[in-house]
Amino acid sequence: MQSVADRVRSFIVDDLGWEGAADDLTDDLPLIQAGALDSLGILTLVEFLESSYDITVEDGDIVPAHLGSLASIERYVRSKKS
Amino acid sequence: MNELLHTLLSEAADSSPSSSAVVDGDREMTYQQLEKMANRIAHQLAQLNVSRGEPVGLYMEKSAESLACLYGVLKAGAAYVPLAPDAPAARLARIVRHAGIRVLLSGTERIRQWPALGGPDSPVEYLVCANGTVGEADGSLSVAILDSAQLAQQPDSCPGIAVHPDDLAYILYTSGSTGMPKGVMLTHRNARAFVDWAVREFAMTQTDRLSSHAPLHFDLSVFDVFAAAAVAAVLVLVPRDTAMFPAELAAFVRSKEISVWYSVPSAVNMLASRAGLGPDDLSGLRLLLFAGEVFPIDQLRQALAAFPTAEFYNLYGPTETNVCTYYHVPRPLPAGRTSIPIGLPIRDVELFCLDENRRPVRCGERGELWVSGPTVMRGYLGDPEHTAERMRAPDAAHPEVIAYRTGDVVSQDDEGVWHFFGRLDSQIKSRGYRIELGEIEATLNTHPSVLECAVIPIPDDRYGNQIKAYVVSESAVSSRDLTAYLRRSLPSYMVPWSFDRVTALPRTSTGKIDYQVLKKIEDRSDHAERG
Repeated sequence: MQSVADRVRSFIVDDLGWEGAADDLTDDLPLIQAGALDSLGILTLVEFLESSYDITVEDGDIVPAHLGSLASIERYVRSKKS
Repeated sequence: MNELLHTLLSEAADSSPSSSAVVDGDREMTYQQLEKMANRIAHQLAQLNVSRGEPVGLYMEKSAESLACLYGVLKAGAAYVPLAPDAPAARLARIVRHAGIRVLLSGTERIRQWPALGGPDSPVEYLVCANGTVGEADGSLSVAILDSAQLAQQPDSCPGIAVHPDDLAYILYTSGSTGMPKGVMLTHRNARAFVDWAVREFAMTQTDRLSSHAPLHFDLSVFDVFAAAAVAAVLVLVPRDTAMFPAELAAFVRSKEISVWYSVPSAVNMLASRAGLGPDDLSGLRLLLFAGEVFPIDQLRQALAAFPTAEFYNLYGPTETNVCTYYHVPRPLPAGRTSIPIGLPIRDVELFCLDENRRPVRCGERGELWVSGPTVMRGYLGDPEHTAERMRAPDAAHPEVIAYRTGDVVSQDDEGVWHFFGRLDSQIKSRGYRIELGEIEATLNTHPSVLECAVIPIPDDRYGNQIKAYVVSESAVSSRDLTAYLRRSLPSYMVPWSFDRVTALPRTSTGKIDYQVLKKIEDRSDHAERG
């Protein structure tokens, strides 16, 4: 099964219009500073995570600690699933 | 009455020197400090022989220093031209050339982009780094570099440069359908007509704390910056990263005790829908102003519930007219309403609703909105043709009354309230940004593989619109290539979200691209997806 980080990487490239190569989106890249996510992009990403992984992202969970990088998104989604 | 913008700062510095003018992260700058720094910048600009009305570039992240720069430019009798800090350098370089910017005020955070703007064919002669010192200058830059060490040498007294209310104060570049952004020229009087009205209408006082959410190149910032100074209130800069996360933004609004919020509806919606707010969490917010795009009615209802104590106002007006109408959203919002009006004209503004033959339409009928009055721009920089096309007499019997043709379709109801219905042309709003689809097409057409293209908007409740491009190309070209190509010269909000390669574009009987057919295809596939 594709990892969460890989699916989100494809999502950022295909649906959020990331300008660079997918390879530039490393697991630890700070997504906000790199310009991969803007404010609406974050909410779109949240909806993507909710529908793709059948989880509910609480309002208080929409923070950089959870959504700031592909690695943190992976950790967050796994913690919600477990 | 003095109708200059920078007088607002000087008066605040006189009356409330030690009051906080701007909150920038952990730092605060008082009105006296802001005034003194602005004076130093004005002296520096005068020494560089900046002339009356000369466009001076402002290329830095929003900060206390960038506000001092803005006021410094005004005090020098020049016009500030805010350059979007995150826009591609190629686009900014075109604006710099178009405006003939000789002096660029910038900051250490943008040093790496300087070579792109101050290159060999650039009109830039001086780069002033206002928020720090610059070590070894880049040899490839054929410009003189000044920094905060030189600025500190300048006197902090008022430079006393004569400025007239009808002098240019700032130039805002908006998307242009021919591929070149248009420079909207606004005077001190244009901005003061709106700011003075707003201060009175919204009963602003020194105890208010205003959010500064919009970037300086976005005309919403005119209210935040100058209305705060008008009453010596505090301007709280919203950090870009904070603005991304709803709960953090809500905590910021609460901890900074913001009483007046002004932004595009999508930012209000983000706060209302995803910040996990309880009904009293942001009860310090007394006034919630929004502008820039239509507020989808369901989201507006949700926001009214999330901010039960705030007064909501819809402000309307293209950059060319400043805010020219306003609507106080009633509580409760009557059930069955599917949209809210743009409301009534602000003081001294006159609105006309005309058909294509420039004849007034009857009450309740739709026509194009023309706006005349003190808030309306002087014209487009270096483009008399386009200015003459948009600025005309709405009534041939009164050629002395000039109005701006907005291109917006409106009607006036029998109570005198104005309603907005959309555009006559292919201008759209996406995420609050105004976009000429023609500018995207013109840029896409310069791609070597693209033979022709058509760009259409896809309405979307969150983004206002998403953008889709249909492309006919000589050889296979990937969406990623096209995206990367456009990113080099267009800001990200103008880059299409999806590209469809087609063998030909649909045509009307007269041979023009048939956009209606493209939009219908899109409608059908959208329904199919949802169905």
